Amino acid sequence: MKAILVNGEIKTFGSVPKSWSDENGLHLNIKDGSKYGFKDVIYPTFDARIEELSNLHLDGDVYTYDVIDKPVKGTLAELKEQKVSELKSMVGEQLSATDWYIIREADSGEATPADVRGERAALRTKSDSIEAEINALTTKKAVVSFDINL
Amino acid sequence: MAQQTINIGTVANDGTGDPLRTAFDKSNDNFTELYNASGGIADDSVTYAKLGTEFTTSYTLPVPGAGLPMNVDFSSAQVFVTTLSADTTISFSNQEIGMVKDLILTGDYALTLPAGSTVSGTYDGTVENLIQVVITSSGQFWYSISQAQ
Repeated sequence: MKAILVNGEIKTFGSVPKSWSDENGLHLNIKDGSKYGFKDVIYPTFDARIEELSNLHLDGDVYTYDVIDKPVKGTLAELKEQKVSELKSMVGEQLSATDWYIIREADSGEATPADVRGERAALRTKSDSIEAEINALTTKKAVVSFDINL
Repeated sequence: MAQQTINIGTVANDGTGDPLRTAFDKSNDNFTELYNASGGIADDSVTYAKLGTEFTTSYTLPVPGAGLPMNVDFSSAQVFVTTLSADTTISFSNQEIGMVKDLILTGDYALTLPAGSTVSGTYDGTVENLIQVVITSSGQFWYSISQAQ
């Protein structure tokens, strides 16, 4: 991405245009945009869940953006509920992979292997722990940016 | 009609020149032919051979010094040829409204045309480009850029 200041306004381009007109004339077959005022646009790293880019500006010899907080919709309680729901969905998906052992045991009496039972129990324990972490969060930003690592 | 030349004799009053009436008759005939043609030149009487060199010659533009523009003098030739060896700024001199000139440019470098330029076509530095420029008004230049297919 390239940018250039034109009449007080910063204009951005995917790349330096092949032709460019300014007070010095019409430039064709441009190879090095820096000769005409084009500078690189540097994108700062940001968390798109809670942040967004704003205010493209010149910083030294490059253009860059400020990173600002993104407005978060919903109350803290609603966001926690949404995050816990997301957690339960993930847990349910992982449990479903071994559900057939449980169903088989219920149908035929064939015992579910101990290691499977152990994994399912560990998953539930971890889920409970993560849910507690979520409910302990105190800001909307913290809830939205909370990563669920099962 | 071929031009009629008044015989003025060898020396003054030697009696060998045209009589006064004959002399002015020739003069009238010559002027009549001129005035009957628009602008004093008969229709279909201007041939390519009569055109000035600014309409009939090709000129190889020299590489300008560092930081200087490559000047295209409209009064010097019709076709201007050069191979760019660096990013180049073109300037014009002695251009008049309605003039049309041809530039044949090669060289994969940036080319800067004077302010007031409007271009149709794309300059391709990897091949030969025919750039025709028309002076449409003072400080206004229209270009058509093409390459061999």
